[in-house]
Amino acid sequence: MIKNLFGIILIFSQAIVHPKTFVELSLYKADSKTYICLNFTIENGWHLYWLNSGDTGIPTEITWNLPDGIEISDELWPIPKAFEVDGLVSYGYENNASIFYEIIFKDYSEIHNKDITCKINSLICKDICIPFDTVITFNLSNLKSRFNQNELKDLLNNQFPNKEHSLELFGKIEGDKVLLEIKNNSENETIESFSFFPFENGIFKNVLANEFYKELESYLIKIEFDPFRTHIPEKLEGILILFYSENNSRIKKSFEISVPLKYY
Amino acid sequence: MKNLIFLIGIFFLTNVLLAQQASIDSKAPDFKLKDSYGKEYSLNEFKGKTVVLEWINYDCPFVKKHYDSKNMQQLQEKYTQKGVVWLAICSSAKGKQGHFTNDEINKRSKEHGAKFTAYLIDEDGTVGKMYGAKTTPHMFIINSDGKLVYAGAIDDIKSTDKEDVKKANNYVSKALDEILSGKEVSTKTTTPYGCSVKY
Repeated sequence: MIKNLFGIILIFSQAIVHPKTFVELSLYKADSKTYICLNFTIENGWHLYWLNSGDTGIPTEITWNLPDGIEISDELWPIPKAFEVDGLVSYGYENNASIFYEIIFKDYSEIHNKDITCKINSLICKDICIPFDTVITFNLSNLKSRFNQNELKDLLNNQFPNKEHSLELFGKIEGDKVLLEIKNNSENETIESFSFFPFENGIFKNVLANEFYKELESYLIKIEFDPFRTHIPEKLEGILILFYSENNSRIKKSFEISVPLKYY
Repeated sequence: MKNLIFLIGIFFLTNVLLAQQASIDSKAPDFKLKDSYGKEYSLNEFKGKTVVLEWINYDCPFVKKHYDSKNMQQLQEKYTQKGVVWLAICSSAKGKQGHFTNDEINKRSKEHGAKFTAYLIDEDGTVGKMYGAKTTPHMFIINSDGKLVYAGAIDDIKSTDKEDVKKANNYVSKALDEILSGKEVSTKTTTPYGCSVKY
């Protein structure tokens, strides 16, 4: 859905939320829908965390206070990066992160001159971590444009997982791991590596890349349980990232997956 | 023949390493560490007692939350008075955040009014890795039979805000109360939160 958002850039505003990062808010209209984008610019070398922070840190939490007549969706998170320090793996963002929301209102003309407030509770880390908890108010009539249409298209194509896909996926629990089977339908694709970033923390071992092997026409990816997992999930839910070669080019594709798990 | 001996050696080494990895409801792996006064402690010397392991880094904002609010010291005092052994363990490597001289540790512990049994120094990270300690704080509880019965967070509010301590459900006190009243620990694992252990 979000990948079709090559819309008209309308408005934009920014605020410093911490000496190491500042945020900008911009608004995009596409077809009958309108989105706001909260963009974090992060000082070089520092990072913020995804909705699953991984082995360390805490998830970035954003809560909105909206005037009557305006509602927003849950966050549409960009694909995070996995960071490994001393054997501990965390998920987050460095340099830049654009979080989108669909904004819903009865009458578009009424959004002007209205304030929307967001509370950001996060942790910015390098070799040390600094927490911050900031409340920012944006006036919707003060917003200006941030991305041009090409930048927006590039951002949405490369930095967000596909919600819809035609991958044939099967998940089975085998002892202390899940085996995720991907049927390989394309003769031209040779998958070189896989990374699975789970939505829920504390269930699976957090890794930079998952081990895998090929069996007939399938790839089998090993996703190990955390030895201190809190429960066994019914579904494998998260972002699956594939790196593969096609016509001598290395391509990255990412998919949001939800695969029922069966015991083997 | 040499290859066979090599393979047998690898097999035993793997088993030894696996046996030393902590897991829930299994015997907690033994360790020996010196405290901030130079006294050596081993887990085995506390056989028959309930032992809490608290991974610590005084400069981590999540640890500060629980020490500045006195939450950690109150838990330490309450449960050590009931016979529980409370070992704070610092796995920060030399030169990394949380690694201090013994004098500095003792000064800070005194300023905080810490009530743990001992502050143990694990600067090569061996014990931290053996227990899978990821964050500060990261809490582990070993029952009087020597089994690991809890591993995870101190409470259920992932923040650095001192005010949240009052509102949070404290997993450690709940588990300790259950152990001390002869019950099974009802929540054995939770997801820890905090700064990374600075291995």
